[in-house]
Amino acid sequence: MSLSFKERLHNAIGVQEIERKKVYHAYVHSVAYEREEFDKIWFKGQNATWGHNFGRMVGFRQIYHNHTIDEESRAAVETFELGEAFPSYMGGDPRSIGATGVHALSELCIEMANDGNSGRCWAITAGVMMSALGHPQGEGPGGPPPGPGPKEPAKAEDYVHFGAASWEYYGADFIYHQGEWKYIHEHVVPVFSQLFDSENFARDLYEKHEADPNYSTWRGCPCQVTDPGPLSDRYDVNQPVQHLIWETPKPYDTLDDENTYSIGHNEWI
Amino acid sequence: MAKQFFTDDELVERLWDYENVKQVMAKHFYCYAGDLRRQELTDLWVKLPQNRRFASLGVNTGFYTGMDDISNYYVVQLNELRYEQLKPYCDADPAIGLNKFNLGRGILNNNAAYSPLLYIAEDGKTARYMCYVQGVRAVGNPDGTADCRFMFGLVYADLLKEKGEWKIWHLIITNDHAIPAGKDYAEYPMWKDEFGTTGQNGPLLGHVDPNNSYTRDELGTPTVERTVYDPFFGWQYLYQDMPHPYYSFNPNYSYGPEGCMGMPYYERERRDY
Repeated sequence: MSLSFKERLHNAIGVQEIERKKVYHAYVHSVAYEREEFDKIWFKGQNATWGHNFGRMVGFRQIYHNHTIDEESRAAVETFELGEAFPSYMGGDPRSIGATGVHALSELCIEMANDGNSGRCWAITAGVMMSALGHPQGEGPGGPPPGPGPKEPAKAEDYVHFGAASWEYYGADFIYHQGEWKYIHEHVVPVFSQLFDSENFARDLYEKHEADPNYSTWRGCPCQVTDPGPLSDRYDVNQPVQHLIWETPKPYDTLDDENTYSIGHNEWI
Repeated sequence: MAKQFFTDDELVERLWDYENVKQVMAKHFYCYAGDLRRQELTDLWVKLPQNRRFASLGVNTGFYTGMDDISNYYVVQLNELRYEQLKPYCDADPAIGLNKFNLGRGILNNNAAYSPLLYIAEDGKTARYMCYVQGVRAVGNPDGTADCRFMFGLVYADLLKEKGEWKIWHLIITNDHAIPAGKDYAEYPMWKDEFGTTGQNGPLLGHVDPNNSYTRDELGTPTVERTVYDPFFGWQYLYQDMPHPYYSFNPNYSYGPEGCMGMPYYERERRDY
């Protein structure tokens, strides 16, 4: 399909805008500024979807509720717990103080639709999660789930630094809606996560499988979703092939069920 | 299509500006990795006298301002450090000369930049840039030991178009976590907070980690000393610090010493009056 100069210019600007939106997402997500992400750069319709290995949220309302109301409350609780152990944390921004989980993006694969109304983006994130104060020894990511009943408040000396690698693949669709490029679909495929220099994500998992043939990395769904998972598996030594889930986008004409990261959700409603 | 704000020619120029700003910053990381800092200051930084006077380089503990101070810290002091780091090799093996040709022996200092976020001002004269660094740093010794760390942090920059070329004007290289290779980070000593509360393995020296040779040796004494980034609090002010769409350069919101980096948001609000 031959595009005019104006159409090519529109698509070239679209590539940069999609790159910028992906990166903007990485940073605001890293500090749990979820409202600043979903208010600003998302399409707010029923066919907005956000997928992960645990399932797919469908509709802006479900996405917004899970990411903002639930996530931000959790962040506030954790910050106040930290503030009790480290008083200088009290009064800080409960969303962004302390912990960071940044999905650092390597080069993006972006294709623009010939109709100029959408763009598709695939990426690898070599992410990290870190915190100067971390979490009490034995708790936090990788630790056992909290037991029943009220939790004993942790003391400052219980806390240890936290640093982990967290790699994922991303598939994302964007639409040109009301003069702006907006996210409509995001699908996250977690690959592995491990603490820096204290774990071997491949060997440790293999040993867990050896010890218990029924061992699974599946942790269930932590929030309300429309399409429950598992939608993908994390890396496993015994997996037969690389588990990419999604292909990189190919040149295409329009966003539809053949060219999407969320089949069945490609009308702009 | 929405109504156009820019002409087609302006849009093409802005597309090109976006790629050129990324290119200039990529060259900065190349120079940083190769200790080619004199080349960086000469080729990539502002050249006009009025801009050189107000150029700045920020680190966690403050800003070096003006090209003289920047050059002294960024090039001369690093050169002296590299001679100190070379001397043990020369002492261990007289065949290794203590000269510029051997500088950098046993050194790896590489900042890999991810996720560049940048905006060109609407007036097209300046740009604001931020990226995340996942770097590595190793300082070797002649006995085969080495201090190896994975280095993390954010890099910010104001760039300026001088005679049609993008140049670095204000640069901030923050140092976040410096995680030692081969050691569980959880075993690493904790910082203490301003109330003196310490985590395990205290006592420690405030937020400056005595075991982190990066902060000990390389932050120096900035021209303007103030907290630009404190890893104890993490990315608390990231949203306020990161680039956002803007019309024109405003020193109050720059990445220079007049800007707001490291300030609580309520102190930033006062600057508007």
